[in-house]
Amino acid sequence: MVNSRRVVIAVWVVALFWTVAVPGLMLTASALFTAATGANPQQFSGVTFIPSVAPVPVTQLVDSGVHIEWAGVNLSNGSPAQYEVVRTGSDSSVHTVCTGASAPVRQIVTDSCIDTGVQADVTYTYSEKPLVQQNGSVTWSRPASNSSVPLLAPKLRFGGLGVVTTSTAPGVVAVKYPLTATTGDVAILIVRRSRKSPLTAPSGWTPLVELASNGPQSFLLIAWKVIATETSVNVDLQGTPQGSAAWIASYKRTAGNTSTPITATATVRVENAPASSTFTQTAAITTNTNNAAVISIASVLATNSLSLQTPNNYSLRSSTTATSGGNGFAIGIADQIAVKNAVTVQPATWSQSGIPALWQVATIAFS
Amino acid sequence: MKTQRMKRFSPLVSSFSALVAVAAFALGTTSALFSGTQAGAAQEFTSGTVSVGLGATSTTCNVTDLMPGDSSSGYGSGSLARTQCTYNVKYTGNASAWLAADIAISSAATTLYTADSGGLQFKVKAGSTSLMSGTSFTQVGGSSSTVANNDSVSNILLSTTPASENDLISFTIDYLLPLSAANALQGGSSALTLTFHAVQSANQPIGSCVAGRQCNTITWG
Repeated sequence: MVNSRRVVIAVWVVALFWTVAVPGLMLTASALFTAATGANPQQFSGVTFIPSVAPVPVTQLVDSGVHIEWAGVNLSNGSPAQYEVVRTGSDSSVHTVCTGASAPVRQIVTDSCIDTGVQADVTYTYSEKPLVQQNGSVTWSRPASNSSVPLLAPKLRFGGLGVVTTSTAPGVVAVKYPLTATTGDVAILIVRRSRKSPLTAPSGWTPLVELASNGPQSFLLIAWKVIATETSVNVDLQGTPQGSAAWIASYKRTAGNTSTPITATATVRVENAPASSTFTQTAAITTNTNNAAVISIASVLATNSLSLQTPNNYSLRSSTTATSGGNGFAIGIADQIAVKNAVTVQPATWSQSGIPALWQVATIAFS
Repeated sequence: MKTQRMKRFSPLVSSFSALVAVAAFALGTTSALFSGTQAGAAQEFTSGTVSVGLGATSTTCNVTDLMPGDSSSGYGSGSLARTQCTYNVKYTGNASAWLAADIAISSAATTLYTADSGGLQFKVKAGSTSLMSGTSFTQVGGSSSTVANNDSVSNILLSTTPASENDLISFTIDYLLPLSAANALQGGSSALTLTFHAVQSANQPIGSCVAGRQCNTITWG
């Protein structure tokens, strides 16, 4: 019993220690009054490019150079990306193009620009790199796109078509050059009259096509020269009451083309064809130099609209009509670049609207 | 024999039960001290309260489409065109208390915060006290250290003066994505979380702690 009492006393002593001493220790150690509250996380995220892979540009020769176009890239905030467009040439040249006033512009869902700095006879590829700029400095960008399909800068490219000159009376008339024509360009004179008697090329011009037709009567004259400083040429259209019409087209020399233009085919293809809605020349043309501009010129004796039904790599450059002496005249000009010497260029298929009229078509080439 | 032994030990058993009961009672009063919400216990022991709550309306940021050079209005450099984040709180306890904040930064797989000068920068302040500048905070001894990504920094003291009931604390979070931010940060995301906490100041000397630095001489609980 004594032992039991001692045990009980000992237990109460321990209990007293737990009751008094331990809580005191815990208060000083960790049983402090505390409270806490946390804010919702502040979230931050960076902008992204959409799409994340830079689209490959598609290039096309245009009058003023090379038109470069690709699917537009936007930032995730909705604004359009900016770009660095790089041109790589077969001459090992690498240039950033489409800068400043020529910077790419957005057209609905595509961005495009024109590179006016190409040099004749050089093959180019283009890539574009989407980027953002701050204070004129590039900050973020995406890897540049893959390169575009190689494109050869031509020696010559279509410059324009001058206003038509018509005549119904004998005598010389002035046929104007296109306003865009400059010294060194190739001028091509196209005269169509509704009589079969021949026309003569003006002095200093090299005739390429002198094609007559009996039924109905018609004559097509095509001649060319390298433009000096003149802005028109006097031509005897041998006007008759049946009328005649004359135009001058020009082909501009691409930068770097310092050679005097020459004809680039041994044989000019010339054909008359009966009235039909379409016409394809029966023979192809074969070039005799590299990088030749192959030009197809079609005409009909009607105010029909001419177009390419089957382009066969030709691009339609101009299609126009005129009326003289109660007769209608129409011409169409299309061209393509033949990259290599001795290339056989298959003819395009021309089409005319309205009631079919007699075709007179020629294909020539310059380099 | 088993019965006798039981009888012989019964005073012991009952004493132990009493001990457990007393200890449980004692511990119960102790655990009530951990919470500022047990008002009944506080009244019974006439103790003060330590509690915190929200202050004025805060601006919880969800800043999207950040580009290099973008910054919030209070950062001091960059575009200054983005919205400043705020977190307004109030000390609501009636016992004076030390106040501190914890800063945690977490990021997705593609991060915007890189814990160096090339990623997202922060300026976190409580009033005029700077808690984080760029990617750095100040340690106990005054040396600067980096807030690591997907990590946190605890117990940055807000003031060496104990807070009183209804004291308002306004946290501001300004940010800058520097112009030098790498392409790899495109589309990255990060989050900064502030935790505001208080602990009784009574019987807790502040020691050498300095506002805007970590304070470890105080037991924050």
